[in-house]
Amino acid sequence: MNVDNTQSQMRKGVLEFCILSIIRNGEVYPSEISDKMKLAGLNILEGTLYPLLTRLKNASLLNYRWEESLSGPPRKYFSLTDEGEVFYQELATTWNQLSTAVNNIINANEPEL
Amino acid sequence: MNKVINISLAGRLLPIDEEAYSQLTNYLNWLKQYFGKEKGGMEIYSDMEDRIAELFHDKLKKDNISISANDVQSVIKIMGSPEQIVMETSDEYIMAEEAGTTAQQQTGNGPAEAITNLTSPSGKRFVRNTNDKLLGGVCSGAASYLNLDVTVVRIVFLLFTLFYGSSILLYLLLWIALPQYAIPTTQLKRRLYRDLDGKLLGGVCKGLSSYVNVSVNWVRLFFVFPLMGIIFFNIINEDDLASFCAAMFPTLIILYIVLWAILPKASTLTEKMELRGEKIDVQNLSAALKTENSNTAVKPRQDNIATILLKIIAYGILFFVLGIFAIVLLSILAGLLGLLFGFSTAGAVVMPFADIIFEQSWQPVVLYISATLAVLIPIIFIVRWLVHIARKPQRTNKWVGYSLGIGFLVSVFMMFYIITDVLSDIKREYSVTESIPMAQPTDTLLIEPMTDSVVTGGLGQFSFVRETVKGGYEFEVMSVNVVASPDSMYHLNLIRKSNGRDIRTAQRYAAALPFTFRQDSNTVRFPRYLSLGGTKVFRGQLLTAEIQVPKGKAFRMGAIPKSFSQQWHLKTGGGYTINIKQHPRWSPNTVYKVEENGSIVSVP
Repeated sequence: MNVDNTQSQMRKGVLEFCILSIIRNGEVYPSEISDKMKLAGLNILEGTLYPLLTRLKNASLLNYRWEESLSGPPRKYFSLTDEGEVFYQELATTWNQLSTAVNNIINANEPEL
Repeated sequence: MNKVINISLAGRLLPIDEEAYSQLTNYLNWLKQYFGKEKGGMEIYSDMEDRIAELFHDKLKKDNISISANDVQSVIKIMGSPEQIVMETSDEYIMAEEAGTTAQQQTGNGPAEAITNLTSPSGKRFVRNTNDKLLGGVCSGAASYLNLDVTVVRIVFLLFTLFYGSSILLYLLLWIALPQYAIPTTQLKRRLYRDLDGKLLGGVCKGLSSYVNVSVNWVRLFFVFPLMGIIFFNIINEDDLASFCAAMFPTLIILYIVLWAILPKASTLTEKMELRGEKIDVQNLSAALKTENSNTAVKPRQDNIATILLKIIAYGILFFVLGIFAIVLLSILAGLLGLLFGFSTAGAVVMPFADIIFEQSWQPVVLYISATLAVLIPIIFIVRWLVHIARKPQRTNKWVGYSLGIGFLVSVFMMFYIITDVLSDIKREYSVTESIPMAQPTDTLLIEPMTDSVVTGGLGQFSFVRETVKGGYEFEVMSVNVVASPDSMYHLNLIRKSNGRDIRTAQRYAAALPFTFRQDSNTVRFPRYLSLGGTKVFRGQLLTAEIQVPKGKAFRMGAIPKSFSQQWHLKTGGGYTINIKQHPRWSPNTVYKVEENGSIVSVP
């Protein structure tokens, strides 16, 4: 059992949820997403971010439009579709349940340590 | 110091140094290969390429003049190294890792689609691979099906063309029968390349050794073995083995040169890994990437004495073989040039005869031009090729090659067409015997040529044809023969003979020949030269005057020319032949006697 794998599996599940919720707060372009996540303390490689965005977009959870940028090539600005919103709501419910449950378990375990 | 080159990345110009460039290409190639496997993968790749370009652009804006290896590394840190990307994006990777089977898994760890039925042993299909093809992708598909290297399959195909082109037919049939399918390049098989890292000559041995996974020196020994064998077996007097080695040696040298010519060199990291049969996955790739980068950093090459000696021997053999090759090539070239020169002189000689050989006036012109081209074009090809290998240039315009090739074929075709056309003009032979009234001589018959009124001589060295002052040509086609008479009388028969396209034409040609002879009591005179009597072309027209002399009588040949005792014979059966039949060889100024048994003997 490799700890790296387990860690990355744990991260993987929440990454999509985090990305969707950042996008839900307003149109963003990819490197902005990774900056925001980093700021929040969750590092994501851009090499991981791009494939995720494309897959979410191909699952029609996301939309994007091109916008010219001053510093480089035009950027893709992503936004949530209606389907994406439904998807997000479901993930949010699951997350709330999960985080409460996990916290309860961790806190319950603590005294015994 | 590092050379800075300008590249275009995501449509923007980017000054980058060479080391950084090689690292960047390796990284981008990996990304393309990795994401290329999944649906929408090219979009992911191009997004990432855009982003990388943007990051570089920021760097350049800050302070850098060009992108360095460090910049590339820091970008890779932002985007993620191959291992990190695989860890985070692939589900399969983790599952495989847990089962502990990554190393054995053949399909690689592509996200989502690893179930192409071409690699799974059960569902393997035989297709034409449109992804790596020279003609129809048959060889490439076969290689994938049989799990062999394409080059090996191609060589086998080429070898089998020697057996009456059997593989060409097979190829065409497979081309028609097989469905086409682009086998993804990521499902790579082991491939044979020339390995330039640690090469001695062309990297062929090194490539082979990496391919079959043995030490280079064994492979080199294999190539040099016959040479040593020749020496060794000669010393211990094993002649059979020595001559076997002597036969093997050039074969192996030629094999080496052929492989040098047809094998691509392994220049990218992926190609090098394909050569070694390494699975192109993240760990291997990034490991290779690291060693590659450290390799490029320390480059000064040090040859030890053994390597230098080997090199000298290898180059010596190579130059020897190339020298022989060059000599052969040059003699072919010289031969062709000689032929060309021969044509021009032959043209000068044959041209006057064009009128009497060809029915149409365009035929000799076309024949001459096409014959010249048929010789000239191979010369041009050889010269072009020599220039090509001497300069190692970018690809030359292939249309020039195509049109030269077509020109060559057309001129050879025209040449044969015209020759066949002319030769078919002598396909049929016609001959008719007519009897000519002749006065009975009272004494010994004297046979003489007519005194000649025409002063012009033959054309060049061909005394067989001559031009007359009236214009037109006369031919030395009159021959005279003497046979025993069936009765006690003298008779004169005239045999007219001609060839022609058909029997009717031949008859017409034969009948047109104007025949005159003069008899002056005991002397008969025959013309030496005849005109063709209105016929333009010479098609083997011939007149034979056959004098029948009664048995027991004598006759005398006067100052006859040689041509009186010979007869042309044109024949087109299985092969075209032109030969000269001899009558009994009449000598001038000789008396002959017809014996009672019909034989003719000369009387001293």
